[in-house]
Amino acid sequence: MPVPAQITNFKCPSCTGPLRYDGESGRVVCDYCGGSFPVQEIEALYHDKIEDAQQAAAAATASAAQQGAAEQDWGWNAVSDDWGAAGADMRAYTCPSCGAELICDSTTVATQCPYCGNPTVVPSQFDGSLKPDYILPFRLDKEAAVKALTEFYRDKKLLPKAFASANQIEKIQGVYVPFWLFSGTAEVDMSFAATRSMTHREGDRIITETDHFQLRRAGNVDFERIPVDGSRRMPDAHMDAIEPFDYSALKPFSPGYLPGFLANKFDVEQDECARRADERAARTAEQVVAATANGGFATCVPTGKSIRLRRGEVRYALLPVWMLSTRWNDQNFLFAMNGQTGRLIGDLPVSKRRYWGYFAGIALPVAGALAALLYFFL
Amino acid sequence: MKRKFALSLLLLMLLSLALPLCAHAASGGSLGYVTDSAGLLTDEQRAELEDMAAGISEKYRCGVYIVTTQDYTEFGRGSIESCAEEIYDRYLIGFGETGDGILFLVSMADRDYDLDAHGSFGNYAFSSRNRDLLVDAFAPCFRGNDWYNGFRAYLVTAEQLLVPAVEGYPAYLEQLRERQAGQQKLLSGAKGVGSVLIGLLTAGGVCGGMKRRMKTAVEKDDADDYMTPTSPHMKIVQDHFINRTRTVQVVQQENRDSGGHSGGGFSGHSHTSGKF
Repeated sequence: MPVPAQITNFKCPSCTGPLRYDGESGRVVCDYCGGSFPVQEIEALYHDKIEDAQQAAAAATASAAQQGAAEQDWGWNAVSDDWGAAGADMRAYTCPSCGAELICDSTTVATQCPYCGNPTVVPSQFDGSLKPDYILPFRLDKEAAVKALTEFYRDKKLLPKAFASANQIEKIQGVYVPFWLFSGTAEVDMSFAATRSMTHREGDRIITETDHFQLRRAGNVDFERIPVDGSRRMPDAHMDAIEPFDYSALKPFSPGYLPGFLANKFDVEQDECARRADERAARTAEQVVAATANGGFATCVPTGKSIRLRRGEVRYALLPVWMLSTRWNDQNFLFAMNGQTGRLIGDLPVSKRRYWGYFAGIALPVAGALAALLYFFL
Repeated sequence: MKRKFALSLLLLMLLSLALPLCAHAASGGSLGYVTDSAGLLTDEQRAELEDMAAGISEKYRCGVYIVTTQDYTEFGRGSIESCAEEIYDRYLIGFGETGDGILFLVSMADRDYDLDAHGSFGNYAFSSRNRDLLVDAFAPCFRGNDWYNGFRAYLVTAEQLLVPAVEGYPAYLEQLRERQAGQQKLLSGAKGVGSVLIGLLTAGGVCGGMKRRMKTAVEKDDADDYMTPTSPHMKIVQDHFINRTRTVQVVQQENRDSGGHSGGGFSGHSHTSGKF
């Protein structure tokens, strides 16, 4: 059973056309009438509607609990009968603009009605403890992402020619991806066995004198906001590879930045993500402290280490990512672009013909030239 | 005319005086088969040995020389081996293109001797093993200060060694040529295989790098970008000196042996030296 008034459409105050956040201007714009509004103005305008939607969602959940379905929230009931097990993680909403039924993922925070095209926000997904601390608004638009992908193909010598020319972008979507930002301190205490050698000659003897040292280095390494994506749907490798983000542009969360983009809430808990942040911090801390011991010694071998991590504040933020997917030879290729910095990554297919062509093109001349050199000069 | 003759005679005398002082002599001078600067032999004994050595040397086209000195260190050389080489090279002794021969140098100060074989045939005839046989021949006499018989035993044994050497040398050369041809073949093969391997490795490295660029979605395992600018804050920086170790490596000299052991190259100098 779809639940009305639990989602909010962002419509132009002038013409009721769909709004979208424009990263270049930093304002919310209407493509129909050309209206342009500050984010704060849209947020203030929709503040009451968002609160109403959050209250309606809370009331629906309470009602479902009273009916003895406490373990099942309102959305689950609405789709599970028809969708079977797949419906367990689905929610059904009614679009306030056109009345169409929207089937969304249980983590969806913002989406778009496929019928009327209105940007739609699910306020209950950022209510109370679910509210992100920060949002990093998109700075680059869809055109920039398409251009970046074309550039990305350009200098890849092993890319099959048909991939770049024939392949079409199947889907391109700006997504606010939920990230946990971990701050903290790594306390490192390391010991090393190091040597320093001097060699001199006395007649027909070569004398090597080696000084042996026991080194100890201990110190703290502070980290700020190590990002770990809190969405199972997003591949960790893709999300890691588009780092870093420029945190100086972080804003306190406002739904005014969401129109025109998808947004998900986290579905990987903070504790689960903390493990990855800890591993990354420990590795860097060890490298940094070890680097202070290497100078001036011929050899320096770690003999012991102790790394203690003190976690500081943990923040929840939505960070901007353009996801692009293409299909070629019955294979899907997924690319991700940092919506702020424009860094684009993704795995590309390798043309075997080109690979072996380059291999032979390098191996044969090198071997031939070397053989000629050896035969003529040795 | 008389004056010219007297001057020539004087020059000749001066030259003959200078002959034993091998290191101080001008290069390219001549050296007899037996040069007794230490005065161990009578004139007759020296002449007899000279004739004997000359006969053997001419017959087998391989010089057999004897040089005695009071102290080889007077010549400022580092070792008795280098002194022997100096004599050999300065006086251009030996037979044939490679200067085949053997020089027996005796230094009385510390009762040192050196047998310096030279040239391809010289090294073949007076191999390390054969030089040991020469030592076995003269050493018993020398221990009893019987110099003449010691030198004589040396010459007799040298001739005994030269007889089979002359016969076996062509076969040996043939073997050597075959071995060298085999080595050359092996070297050519190694060059080819090495070139191909390096070509493959280079191509593998370059293509591997190109392939890596095709895969850019990689999980990060560090947090370098998120370290604060003031980190790290070092609390303990200690360098404790534990101890000092000293290793000594002796640089090996080519074609040098000592203490009665031997070694050497094919056509260069090879030695057997020791004390009697």
